[in-house]
Amino acid sequence: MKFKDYYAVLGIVPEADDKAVKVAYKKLARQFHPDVSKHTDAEERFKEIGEAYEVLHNQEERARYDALRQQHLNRTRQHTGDSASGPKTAQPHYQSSNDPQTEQEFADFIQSIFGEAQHGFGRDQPHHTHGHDGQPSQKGQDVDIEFPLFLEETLVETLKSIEFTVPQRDPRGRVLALKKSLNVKIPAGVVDGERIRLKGQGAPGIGQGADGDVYLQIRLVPHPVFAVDGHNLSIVVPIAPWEAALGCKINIPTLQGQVKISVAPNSQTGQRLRLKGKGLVSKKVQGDLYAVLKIVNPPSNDAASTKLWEALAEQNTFDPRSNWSN
Amino acid sequence: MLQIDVKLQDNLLDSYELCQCSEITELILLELVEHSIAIPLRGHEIHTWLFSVATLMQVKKATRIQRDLAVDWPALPIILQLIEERDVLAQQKRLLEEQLDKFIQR
Repeated sequence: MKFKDYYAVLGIVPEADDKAVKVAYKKLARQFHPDVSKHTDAEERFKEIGEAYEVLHNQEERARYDALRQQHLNRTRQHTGDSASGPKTAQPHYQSSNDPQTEQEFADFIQSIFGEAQHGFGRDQPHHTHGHDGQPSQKGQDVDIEFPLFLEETLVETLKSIEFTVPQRDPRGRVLALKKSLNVKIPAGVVDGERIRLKGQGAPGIGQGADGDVYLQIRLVPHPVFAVDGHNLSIVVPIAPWEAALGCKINIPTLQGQVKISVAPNSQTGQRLRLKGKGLVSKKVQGDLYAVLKIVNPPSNDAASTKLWEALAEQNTFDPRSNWSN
Repeated sequence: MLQIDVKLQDNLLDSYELCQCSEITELILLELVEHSIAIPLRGHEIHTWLFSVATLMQVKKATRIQRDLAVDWPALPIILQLIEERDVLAQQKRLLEEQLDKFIQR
């Protein structure tokens, strides 16, 4: 286990008093709490911050840690041939190794504080209880799985396969990885972010503890054509200027197949046409599809087309910027 | 391979199960319901309450924040509401950016 400089983790100097330790911990805990933070490594940082606080706010453990840290600094200096006095301030790199002895001593130290469960300072640690026979019981670990679904798959009940591993203890108490494969019938109408509970499919419980659960968190895969807004969908429909001016009938794709829509004369870019019931299904309502018009000019015009545009420009008095005048 | 049909009853939890899954006591559950952090879908008292999986997740989040950041119970609903509002705004921003990308092909 790599040696960690807990002072650097909390961004404090080794001489910091208890109050400074607490203040630094609170500030960083707020910043990196996984339920609050959007940092990609929030979970890992929060564990480290918690671990550092657990060690440094306890006088006895802090003294043991300081001795270990000093040994580590001495050995590092010997390795690098640096005869300068040890750094007084926190190291910029708070994880370091290159000394097997320090790594082992640090691992033993962590083991003595957090026990076997280390990396022990963590969230949602399984809860220990005792059964009627006095034997320890523990609910099996829950498993969270992000579950991608295509929009089309939410319209009807869909059978999906999942594979995952859960920790299981063998009779000798060793933790093994148990591979599980399930076929799951996902009901129609699930939405992005929804969680589905598969009761008892997580890690096996210990003693009389119940088996853990699996929570599938639905993630809708972004669609190349449709944007999702709750149960409604939208699609950008490109139309030519003359189709917008004269009106037209066009086929547009929906999740259930092609549908013909009528574009009224003098339609504008951004105008929305509602196709009732062509959105996503839900347990209560059927969503709609919104076709958003976008007038698109040809990338280039031939001579005949240019003449027609010029004729139109001469005859038409429309000024799209009239509200700018005066 | 084991086949599982997602059952509605597995996605509804009674008070005992909610407490077991989120490792809280009934007293804390009462506190959470009192502060509208956990809102029962059905039932009028603790032994008849039924909760959704979404509420279970909310309870887990609330208890983590309360424990890790030493937050008072009365402050929790405001914190959770602000986190939810921030997440909704982030979701709306993503949606608008997605729509804009499809519209202007930048």
